[in-house]
Amino acid sequence: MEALLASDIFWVVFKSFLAVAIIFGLPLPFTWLERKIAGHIQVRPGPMRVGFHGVLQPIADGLKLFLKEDIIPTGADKFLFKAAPFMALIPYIAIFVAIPMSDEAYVSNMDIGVLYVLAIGGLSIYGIIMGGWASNSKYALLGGLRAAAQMISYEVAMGFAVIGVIMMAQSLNMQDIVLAQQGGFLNWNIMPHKQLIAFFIFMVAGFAEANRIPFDIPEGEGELGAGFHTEYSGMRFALFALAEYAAMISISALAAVLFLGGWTSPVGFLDFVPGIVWFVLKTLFMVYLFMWTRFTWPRYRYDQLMTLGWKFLIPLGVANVLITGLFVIDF
Amino acid sequence: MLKDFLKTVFLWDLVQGMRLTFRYQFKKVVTMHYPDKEKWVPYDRFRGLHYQAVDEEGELKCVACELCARICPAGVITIEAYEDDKGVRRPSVYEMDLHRCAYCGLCVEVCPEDAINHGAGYEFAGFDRADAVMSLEKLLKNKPNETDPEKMGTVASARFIRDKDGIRVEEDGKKRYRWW
Amino acid sequence: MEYLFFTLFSSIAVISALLVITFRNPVHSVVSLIVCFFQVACLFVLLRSPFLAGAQIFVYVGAIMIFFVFAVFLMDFKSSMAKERFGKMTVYALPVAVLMFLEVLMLIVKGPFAKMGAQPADVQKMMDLGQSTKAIGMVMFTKYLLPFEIISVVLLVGFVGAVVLTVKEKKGE
Repeated sequence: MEALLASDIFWVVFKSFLAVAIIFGLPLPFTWLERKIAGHIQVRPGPMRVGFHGVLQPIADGLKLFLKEDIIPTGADKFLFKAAPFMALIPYIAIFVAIPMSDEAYVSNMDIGVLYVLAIGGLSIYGIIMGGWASNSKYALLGGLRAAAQMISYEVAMGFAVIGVIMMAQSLNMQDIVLAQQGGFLNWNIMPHKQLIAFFIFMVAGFAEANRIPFDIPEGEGELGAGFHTEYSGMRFALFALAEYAAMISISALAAVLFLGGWTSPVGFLDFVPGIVWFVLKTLFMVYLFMWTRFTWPRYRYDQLMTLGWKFLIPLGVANVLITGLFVIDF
Repeated sequence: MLKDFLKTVFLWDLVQGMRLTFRYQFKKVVTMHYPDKEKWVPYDRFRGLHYQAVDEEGELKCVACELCARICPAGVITIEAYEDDKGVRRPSVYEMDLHRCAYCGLCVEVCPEDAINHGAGYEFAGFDRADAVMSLEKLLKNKPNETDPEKMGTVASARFIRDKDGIRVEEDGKKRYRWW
Repeated sequence: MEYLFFTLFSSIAVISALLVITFRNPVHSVVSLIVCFFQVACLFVLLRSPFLAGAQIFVYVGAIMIFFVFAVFLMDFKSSMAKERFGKMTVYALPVAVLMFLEVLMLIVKGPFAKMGAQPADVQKMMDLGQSTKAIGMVMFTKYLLPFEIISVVLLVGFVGAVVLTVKEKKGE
């Protein structure tokens, strides 16, 4: 037993399991939270009947989806159709490996943390594209193509936003980026004298990457049925929904690390609170922001989305990198 | 001019929307918690489940003139008449198939004896198609028991009951408030 | 342990690379190409160069392959799928392919790469410290600055070429 606890491999496996468990477990309460927020924004209570204030609703929903028939359309590419939901979900689990939850709680402190997160995060789009294509349905294919186009446009913008942060910290390492923001909220990258523009770009691109309103055009219920997951049912559909929530959580966590100072406390006298509490609070705030906007703004049109990405965000990102460069050279 | 420009740059419209939805989150919810906690008591004028009226002696008012059956646009009502001991025409069969009923109220308006009436009932969902076919006996039971006009048009606290007699929502009389 | 992983990654890489050219459905080919690139990234990790692995996934798997997928989706591949595997061009292509393969083999066994020794001392030190990003940056912007710039010019030429081609086509209509 002691030998087991001492071995590195055990801890790596244990932490990985923990990360997977968190990612699989979190979407359940978050669906409840989202429906509650949706309800209260629309002056209604949201789920109320299953358990206290409907807290057990996600379990009931999960059970329902689990027991439903798994339909594979005729003419669908069976292998890709079955694999696509996993392709969409796994990258977001992999992202969590690199995100530091406190100075000690992380799975891996990678030298290339930010690059890894961006690279792996970009892969989940294959799940959506392949799911759309393998369904052998026009709506689903259009949803997949939109996802691909959206992804290409916004990954670039997100990259530029993150470059600004990397320049501030002079490191790709997530821990170094957090440490560079130490010493109260004035040192956080979200402050105007740091990387406010980058934060704005990052969040807009993040909404697009997570396929959340106002950028959920791959789903586009209004015009595409349900977009890329039109043909999915039961558990595979649930996996797509899970992937969306996992994306939201990981982008929120990433925003917390890159711009809100990660696990550092906002003011000096609160330093005694453990770092993981701050990290969780900041991530929850970002998740709330995602949900809040979802029930406030309408969906962007496809061409508006492209215009915003290519003509506005990317030039802004380049400008931000240049200006940051000027200031960074100074010290 | 400068103000407009700044508003565009800082996405002021979107921020305003966010502010509005944020404020709405703390408003009191307007949902009526039917059937768990609350129940709606309809007004007198409400066109609910029909009932057959009886006179002071407990005698059926209906004389089986079949005017209601004739005027009904959906053919809901089936009547078969007979002559009782006093020589009055009475319905032996009076059936309403409420699956077809649109609650237009024509049958109530046309009735010369004020026999068929709209009640206050609106909870007649059932597990069987036969549940919605109202026989004479069922129609006699449907008379609303709420007569106090003060209590009409209110939301009453209630509880949801599921036992061997079936599923129903009963007022518990603890609380009552006006909807508007 | 490392040998085990190397065998795993490289065998998957080779198999998926073979599948790229044997699958009849272009989308399946693209998927196996993605797998192949991914395995190459894994091999970079084994070579103590996580930065290259990240860049490989970010650029090849994350960006370029999406363009591939996009192009394949817009293509009418149902008609091209039915054709036989070996066309007329096989006769000419086979000797060229064999020749190229031999050439690569020669390069590996006898070429300059075989004789290449250790990295410059400071770079090697950084690699050992796990600062491969810094090491790559140092080398790229000092020793290999000219090739780096030339490659960006090549990419620019590609861009301009694409624009020129599309604009010309429109004028002709």
